[in-house]
Amino acid sequence: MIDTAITINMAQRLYWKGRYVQRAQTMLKELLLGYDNVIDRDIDYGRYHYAKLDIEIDYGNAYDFIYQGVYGNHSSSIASIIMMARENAIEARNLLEERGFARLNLIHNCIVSARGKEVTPAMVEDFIDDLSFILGIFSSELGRTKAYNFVRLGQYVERFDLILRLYGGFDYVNAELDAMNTLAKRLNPDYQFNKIFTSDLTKALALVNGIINKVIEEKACIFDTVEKESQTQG
Amino acid sequence: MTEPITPELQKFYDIFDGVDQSKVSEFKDFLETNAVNFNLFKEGNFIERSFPFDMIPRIIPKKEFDHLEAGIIQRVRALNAFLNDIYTDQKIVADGIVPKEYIDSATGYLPSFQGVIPPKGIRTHISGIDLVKDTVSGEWVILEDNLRVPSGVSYPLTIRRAFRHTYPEFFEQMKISKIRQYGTELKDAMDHVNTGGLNVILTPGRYNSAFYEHSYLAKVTGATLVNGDDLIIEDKVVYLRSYNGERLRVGAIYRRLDDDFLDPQEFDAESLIGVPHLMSAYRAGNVAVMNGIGNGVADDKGIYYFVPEMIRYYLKEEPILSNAPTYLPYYEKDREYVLANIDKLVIKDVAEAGGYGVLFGNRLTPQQREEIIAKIIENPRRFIAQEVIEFYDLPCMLNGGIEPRKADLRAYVIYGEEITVSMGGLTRYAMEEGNYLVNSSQGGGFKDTWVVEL
Repeated sequence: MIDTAITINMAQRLYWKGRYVQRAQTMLKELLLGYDNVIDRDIDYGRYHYAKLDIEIDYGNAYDFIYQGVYGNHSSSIASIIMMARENAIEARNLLEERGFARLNLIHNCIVSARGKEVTPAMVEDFIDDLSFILGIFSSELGRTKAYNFVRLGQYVERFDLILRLYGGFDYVNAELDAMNTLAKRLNPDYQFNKIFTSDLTKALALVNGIINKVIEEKACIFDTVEKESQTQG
Repeated sequence: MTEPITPELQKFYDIFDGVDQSKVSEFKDFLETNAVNFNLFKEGNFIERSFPFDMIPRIIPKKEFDHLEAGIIQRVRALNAFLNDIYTDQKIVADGIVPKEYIDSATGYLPSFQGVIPPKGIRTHISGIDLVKDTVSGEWVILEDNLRVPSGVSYPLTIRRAFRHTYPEFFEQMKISKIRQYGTELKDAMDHVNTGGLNVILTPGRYNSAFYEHSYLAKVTGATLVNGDDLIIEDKVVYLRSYNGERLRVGAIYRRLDDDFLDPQEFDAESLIGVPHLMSAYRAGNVAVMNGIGNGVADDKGIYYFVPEMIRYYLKEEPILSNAPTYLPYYEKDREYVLANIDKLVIKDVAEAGGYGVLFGNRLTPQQREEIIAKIIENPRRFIAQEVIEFYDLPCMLNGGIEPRKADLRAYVIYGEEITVSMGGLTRYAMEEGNYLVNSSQGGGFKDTWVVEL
């Protein structure tokens, strides 16, 4: 089984790959939920929902809402999330399971080729299924333990980040924070456990998003800065 | 002219006639789905492009390949000996075999590395030798030696697996040499020269045309894929910066970037993809760099002319494989011939690669002809001229039928404890009929290469 050394760059790629795949799946599920709510409850449901992520979207009907969710000109569009997931996956693919990479690339290719065409709920469901396949690999892959622990950590952080932003689920985050802490500790024995003692959303988000910075040793980054400065001076 | 059908190729066609040919499209799907890309930069834009693949393989009978293998190993041994000589005593120059001017003016020659002996004396760890099969003699002819950063090996290795999955019939019914041991052989070669520490593959990054290959090779060798800023040098030792703050010693670097970009302290100061001070570790013998620094002097198009003489000089053997008939305008006699016969020659600029800087004399306009003649007279060292080799076309599945296309072969050689030639290689074909330029950077496609024993 391959468990090679992992560089700072690669650790970041793996972590962000996990985050973006999880983000894509969560946002797709939110799109389906929003689609029904736009039809059944309130045409503006999607606007309010995306506003929680500080995103303004505009649409005329339920199909258009889905299209804007997938291709809209905003940072949480599925097209841009998948593109970022794929970019990170390309750079880290030597440490990733091939079928998972291929499935992600396939989603990307589908999204690129379908731009400008109608997006249906059935297509969204297919993407969710594909992403579930990839997320299944995250949790079942044993061969490249360290690499997949970074991916899983990204996946956990993202899930809780979105839950906090969209639903403010503090209790759930606290209950599951142990899982993130355990993963972080496995990756770096020097990692100190985090606890959330605040009900301030901004602080809680900063804490959860800051876990990776405690796994990727600060001294490694500091050394980098010192090295670069000394080279400049030299 | 298409290569005559051998019994081995006939066997392929016999099986081919019986298989479900509609599954051919699965190869394209496979390459696209898996992003098996050879990317291009066009007009400043990065274009992701999967490498066009043709399923009819080049088939080389085992006996014929044995001959090729012996010739290629001989050539790589001589080239390695040449590099060791050039960077130490330069006996081949002193003995008048290669003119000193040819060494000194070779763009890949790095005099500042004179006297640096790499681990185990190996400089040509991974070579890509380009050959074509001449329709006149029926013999294989060497066109080029690539001793710096030869790319392409990952494509036949990748497609072979897909081929076995899609059409197992060929592998069940034909005795096709295996190539999947390439990763192990490369790892063994890295271990062989490793000075103590990790094996790493140094990539220029995701936007390099061959990034897929860098990633692939990291996977199959277990080496760590690194960018320049992942490595640091301390006390002339190379370390990898691990995510957890540890610094892990590096013993062998398979670098996939040219000398110019490798160390901004030593070469191009503008390089952002290299490792500052890496050459201090290399000079101190604390790390193996694969391929060796300064190898460009040996795969210079001008030096190519002298390779048969190198074989005689260093190995005391007759060359098993021939060069294409080549003229050096540097020599007055050759220059006169070249200028008088330019219409039937190919003129190559020695500073160019990837199919660039190649002019076919019979296609020049009168003005282009005058210009190139003036350039040759002004700087004869910059050019070589070669007789046009009428090399074989291979059958390709194109435009709904089977059409002939010019094709070459790149053989991959690993120099570790032993020298091994991969029992296959990358066959590249031109996309347009009659085009002699098969390079992937010129839009060509690839085939798998099967070494077959009946």
